[in-house]
Amino acid sequence: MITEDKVLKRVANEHLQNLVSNFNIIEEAAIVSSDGYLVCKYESKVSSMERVGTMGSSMISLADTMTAELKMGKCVNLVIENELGIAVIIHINSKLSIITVTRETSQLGMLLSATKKYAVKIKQAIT
Amino acid sequence: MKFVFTGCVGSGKTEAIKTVSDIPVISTEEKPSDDLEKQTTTVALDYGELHLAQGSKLELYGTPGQSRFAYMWKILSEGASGFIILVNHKRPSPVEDLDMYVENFAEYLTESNLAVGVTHTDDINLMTNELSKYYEYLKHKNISAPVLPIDPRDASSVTTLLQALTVSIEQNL
Repeated sequence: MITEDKVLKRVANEHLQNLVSNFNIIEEAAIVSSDGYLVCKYESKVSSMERVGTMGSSMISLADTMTAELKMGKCVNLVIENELGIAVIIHINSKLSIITVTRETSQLGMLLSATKKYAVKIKQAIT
Repeated sequence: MKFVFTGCVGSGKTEAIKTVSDIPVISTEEKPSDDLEKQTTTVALDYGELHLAQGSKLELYGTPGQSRFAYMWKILSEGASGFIILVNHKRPSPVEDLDMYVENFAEYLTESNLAVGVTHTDDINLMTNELSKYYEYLKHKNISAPVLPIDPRDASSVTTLLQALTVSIEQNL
């Protein structure tokens, strides 16, 4: 089971913690399996990233389904812009996704670019 | 009318919807990380439609089975006229499985109808006494619902269950 792979969890967690420390706009983050299991997380007191992570796996799967319906290739990322913040979900590979959250509504570009960069880094590190 | 299929992992929810849907089913299936003895598992929803006479249709929604997706159960239950709980008869405690879903959907079941489909039976013509444990459980919970053995791969079998649910809705109108 992917969430019991200690090496993968350690590597993923190291990268997630680096992401959060290098980009202080990111207040919460998680890596989840495609079927909704938490691999690692960074959370504030505001949310349970285990629950949000599982929701993220549902949402990106639904986005993949919609993308396939539209015949637009693969879903690259999912951006959820909200009144009080932004969440981004990106596939790391076919089994994992990363979710990041900021409450700075003007930082979509930074959030997206940082999350993409680390999704690639994590993919390379665990392959 | 909106019907919601729910039940434990591997009970046949996605298969049942695919079997009777008149449209290509919208599904969100992912490879399971754990050993579920199945190729894919639903992580958000399944959606299919069964077209009826005079232009009406049944909207068929399937929920994920695992309780970590319980937020989807609530989302999908809004506005449902009927619920179908599929129970895998070969699981160690199928009545406990049924109870888990009845309890979790209780707030919606008070205002809608329920049918129970018993899957993974060796014989689709299960003897009544083998179904009695499900009826006894439902009686204990003061729930009146049809209980039928079904094969989710067989359209007539799934349709019979849907008809049973529709009849019980009409009786309660």
